[in-house]
Amino acid sequence: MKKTISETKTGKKMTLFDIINNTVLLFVSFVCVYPFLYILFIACSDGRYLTLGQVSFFPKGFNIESFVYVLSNSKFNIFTGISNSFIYTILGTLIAVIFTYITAYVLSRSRFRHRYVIMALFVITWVFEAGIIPQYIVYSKLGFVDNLWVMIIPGAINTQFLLITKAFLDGLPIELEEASFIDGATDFQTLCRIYFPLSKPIIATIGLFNAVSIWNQYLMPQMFLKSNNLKTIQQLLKSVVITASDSGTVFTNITRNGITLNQYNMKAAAIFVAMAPIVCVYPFVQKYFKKGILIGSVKG
Amino acid sequence: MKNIKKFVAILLTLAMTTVLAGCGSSSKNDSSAEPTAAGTDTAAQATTAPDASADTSANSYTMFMRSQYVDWIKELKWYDAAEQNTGIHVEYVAGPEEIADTYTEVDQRIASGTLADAAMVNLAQAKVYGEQGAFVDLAPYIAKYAPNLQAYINANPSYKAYVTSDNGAIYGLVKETPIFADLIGYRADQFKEAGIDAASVKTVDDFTNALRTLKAYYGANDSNYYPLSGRDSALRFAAWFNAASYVDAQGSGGVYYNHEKDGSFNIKADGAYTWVETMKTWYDEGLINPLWVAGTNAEGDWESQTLEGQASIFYDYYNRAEWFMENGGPDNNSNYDMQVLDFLKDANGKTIPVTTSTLYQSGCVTAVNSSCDEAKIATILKFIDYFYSEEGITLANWGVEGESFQTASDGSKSFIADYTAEESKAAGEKKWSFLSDRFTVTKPVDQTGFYSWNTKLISDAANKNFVSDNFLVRPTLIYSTEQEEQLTTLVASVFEAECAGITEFINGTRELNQDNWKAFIQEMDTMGLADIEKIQAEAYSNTFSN
Amino acid sequence: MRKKGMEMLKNSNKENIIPLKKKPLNQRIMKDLKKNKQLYMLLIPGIISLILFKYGPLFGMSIAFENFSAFKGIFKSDWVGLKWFIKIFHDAYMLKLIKNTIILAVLSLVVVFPIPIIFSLFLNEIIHKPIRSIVQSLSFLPYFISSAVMVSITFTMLSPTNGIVNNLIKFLGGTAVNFQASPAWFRPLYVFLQVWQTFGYSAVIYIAAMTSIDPALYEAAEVDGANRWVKMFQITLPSITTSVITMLIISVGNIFTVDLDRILLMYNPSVYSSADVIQSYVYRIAFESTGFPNYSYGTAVNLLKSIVAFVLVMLTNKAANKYAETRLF
Repeated sequence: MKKTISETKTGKKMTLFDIINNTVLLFVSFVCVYPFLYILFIACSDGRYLTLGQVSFFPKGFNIESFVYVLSNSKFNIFTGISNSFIYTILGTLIAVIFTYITAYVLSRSRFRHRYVIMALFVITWVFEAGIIPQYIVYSKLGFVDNLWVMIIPGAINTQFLLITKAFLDGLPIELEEASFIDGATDFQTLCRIYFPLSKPIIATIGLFNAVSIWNQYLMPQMFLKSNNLKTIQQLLKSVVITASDSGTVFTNITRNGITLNQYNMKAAAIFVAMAPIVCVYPFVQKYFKKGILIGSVKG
Repeated sequence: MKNIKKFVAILLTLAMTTVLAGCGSSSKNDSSAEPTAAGTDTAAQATTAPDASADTSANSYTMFMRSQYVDWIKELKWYDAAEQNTGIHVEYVAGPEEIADTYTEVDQRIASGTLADAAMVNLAQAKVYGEQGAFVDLAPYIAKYAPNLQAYINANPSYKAYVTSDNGAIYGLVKETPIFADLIGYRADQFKEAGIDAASVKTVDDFTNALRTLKAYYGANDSNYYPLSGRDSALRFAAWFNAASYVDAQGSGGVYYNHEKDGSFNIKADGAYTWVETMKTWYDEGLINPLWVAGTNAEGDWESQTLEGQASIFYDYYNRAEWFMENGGPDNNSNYDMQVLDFLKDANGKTIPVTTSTLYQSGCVTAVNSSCDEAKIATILKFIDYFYSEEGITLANWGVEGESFQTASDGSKSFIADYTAEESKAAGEKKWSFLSDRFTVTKPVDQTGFYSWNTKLISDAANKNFVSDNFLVRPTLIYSTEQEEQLTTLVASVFEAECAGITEFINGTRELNQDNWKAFIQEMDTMGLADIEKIQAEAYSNTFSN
Repeated sequence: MRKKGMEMLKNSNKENIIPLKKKPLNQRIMKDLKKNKQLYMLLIPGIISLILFKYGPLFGMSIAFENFSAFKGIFKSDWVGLKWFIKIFHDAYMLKLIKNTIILAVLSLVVVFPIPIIFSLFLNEIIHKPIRSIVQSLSFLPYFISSAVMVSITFTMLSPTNGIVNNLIKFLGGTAVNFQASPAWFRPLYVFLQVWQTFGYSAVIYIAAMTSIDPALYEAAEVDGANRWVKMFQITLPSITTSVITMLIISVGNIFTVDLDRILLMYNPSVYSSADVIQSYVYRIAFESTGFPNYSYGTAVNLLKSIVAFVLVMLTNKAANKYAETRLF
């Protein structure tokens, strides 16, 4: 019974390196989380202090009115937006991961003689972009206008993610495949039984990347999703931001329960609500990045 | 076994979300690329018109507009009255939030043939697509169905020239823009405290001296106090030195294209050197916020400086003085009193004319889809025509007599609806509102009405200062496609270079003397300033020779 | 074993061996299809996606050679050949901007690329699982924050009047610096923001690759008395080589992709000399034009940009193949 790494390392004392390393990295992670907290603090501050520029590190006039307003205002349709974004992200990620993975699998098989050519074809499409109008024309001819599948199908195979997945699969030992063939398995079976379980880290990676990409998209839904009940949260929250910062009129502020809601805290609340769901996904994905996946799989 | 379980779990999730998605979506698959009869496809059939007149087969039409404008239209009481009076209902198709995105979406809809009966486009789109056949030539129909509009066109040859294409067709209708300028806002309470008599600040020198007094008084205790502050570009005082950019029969100076009002300066003008010299003095003496000069003072920074008393004077959008009073000024400091200073005068006591926007602008143009039949075109024109009638003009600019405005014995009108109360109503609530700078319908503007629809502070200042003598002439030029192309490219490089160069003179990075200034002008000419001026002058003579 | 047999066959009596003719083409194709039937089937979604969604729109590149009008469509718009390309090369200002654009691109690549690698190497050294999870999770966050927010935060911190950085400088006896208005600081700030926003995201790939390293290698190294630096450079780093090369090629392909939002937000007349790049100039032309939107011109500029990027990607791929025996295509 092999011991896991952490067990064998238990009892080792922290060296100076460890202390410095941990401190530096913790500081770096604080610097990374700060913008997130900054938005939260602004959203929770009273608008008056924000106009005066008095909020930097902590909220002033703490309240959650801006969130209540943004979430409950029927004009903004937030819950429709959130559920739409969730649907597109979940469906889109599943389809993207499956298709990207199997394509990368084929392209990483050394006996597949066309793999370099096909990969080159993909790379060309990634480097050369024709712009939004041709994309619009082609997609609308295929029936994607005002159709939720536009968020899921066209973008399913992202060339960059394909490259990463293929690189990962190239890195798995060729003996795995050979052993599987000796046992009489077909390509499908090899893929499902051998490679797929070993690919957890890369699947988690491209799953995460695809999810983030779909969730954050603005241009695609803006061009194609016109009906209000199809809109994503990014689209709907843009209208909050625009409504809030109309600088032509004098009266853009709203007062609720004594708290001033102006363009600053409303914008921040909108940004936060648009980010929060997807941010929560990452910690769950982390457990797939555990070490030692290949222990015992290949001997010798 | 575990793998199969996982696989099944994934399949189930997939199935579940597909079902959810299927239930939730209302997909209207639009697979045609042919120009469809867009009117009948996308129009919702709900109309509120009480009586369908015998001439027009339908008394409603669809129009594609920026979503912000659609929201505003839905709140207007006068608009409801207009639809009632004409018996015509417009079903608006909301586009994106931003203006630029709206025009991009027009391109997309034209490419896929899904444009509504009418659309908000820009003038170039109207003319170019119109000539290619996407939009209706409205000229014959206006003569037939829109008498008031025809009268307006006849009475305003500059308008006619602006919207008419080379082949004599009119592919888009332009609205009138309210003409207004920036106003000087000042902290009246701080002036009093520092011993400045606002009425005595008449000339630019007076202005500078007032800044000095303020700096001495308030700057002693606060090193971050700079009397004059603002947002974005600080290069906005050129008109005070007769150095605004211009085009006239004699020629052109400076970048006028897209800079008729803001960022309007002509470095070759006699007064230009004095302008930069004065700003440099302000900078050196700490009278103007250096961050503003550097270009790093954002709107939020300026607002907080002005609200907290770290700045006392600004020169910005005409109703800003009111904005500061409503958005926290008095909350902070009960003495806070923002007032408007009258336009500055020259040494002879004559008001120095300032830059304004042009009466006609190339945005928010109404174009009619060529797929509309004559009846539909007639309906659209009838609706627009209403706003060119006396009744319509009054309705759109003043409202309903007795409800929103009243007429005095001498014929002058004034509002009885309260600006503050109406404009601060929540979004979505019906209100009286006459902010004619927003696009609602294509219509003329009653300038007095526009100035009057403000708080007393602003409407008094506007009605007093916004008279045509105080405005520089800002002709609306018509550019050919080629001129447009050349100008855009040249301006994109030259204007930024000018701003960067002038900034360097003001903040001392480059020494300000006559030789360097001449060299700077030379550099700009080499970059393309001379070409810009030439093209502008050509456009002027083309526009006004007809 | 097969190789040896072939050699034997070769060396044996040559006259007795009749060289096998190559089987006719269609027979070879049939054999290939049969043998790799399942692979081809698995590839179908990829090929469909390639043709429909990637190459379909790519024919729109012809817009760059036309006077494109959305009404006339791609096929009916007037053909103008190289008009836009000639215009690009006659635009003196555009050529001036090449320097700024290239400097920014190279700087971004050279600085931004190594940092996620270094970060993941040191992250790998953290023993405490909770700390490692926290650092890994939090490092990912800036990717979600939009450029607008990041620039706003940065400028607040760098504000000459009351930003922390300048307060510190003043405390130490110096004079406040308006970082925002300094042409010299524009590029470092831009690159800093690029690093801040993307290093955690990019690091995920290296972290994922590191999980595939067989722990037995580390244990064997320890037995041999290797310290952590040796382990890092002899085991960890070489094991993620494929990922590094892949990411390098991807970064080279993206070399001319700038964060336009960030540049526009950071731009002001004071930083004009270093901040203006081709991408922002083209944006300005398109956006500030009240004339007819010139998609053709923008497409032409993009086409040129893409060609350069593609050449660089091919060169990198070739170099990777030659020196690291890894090739992507």
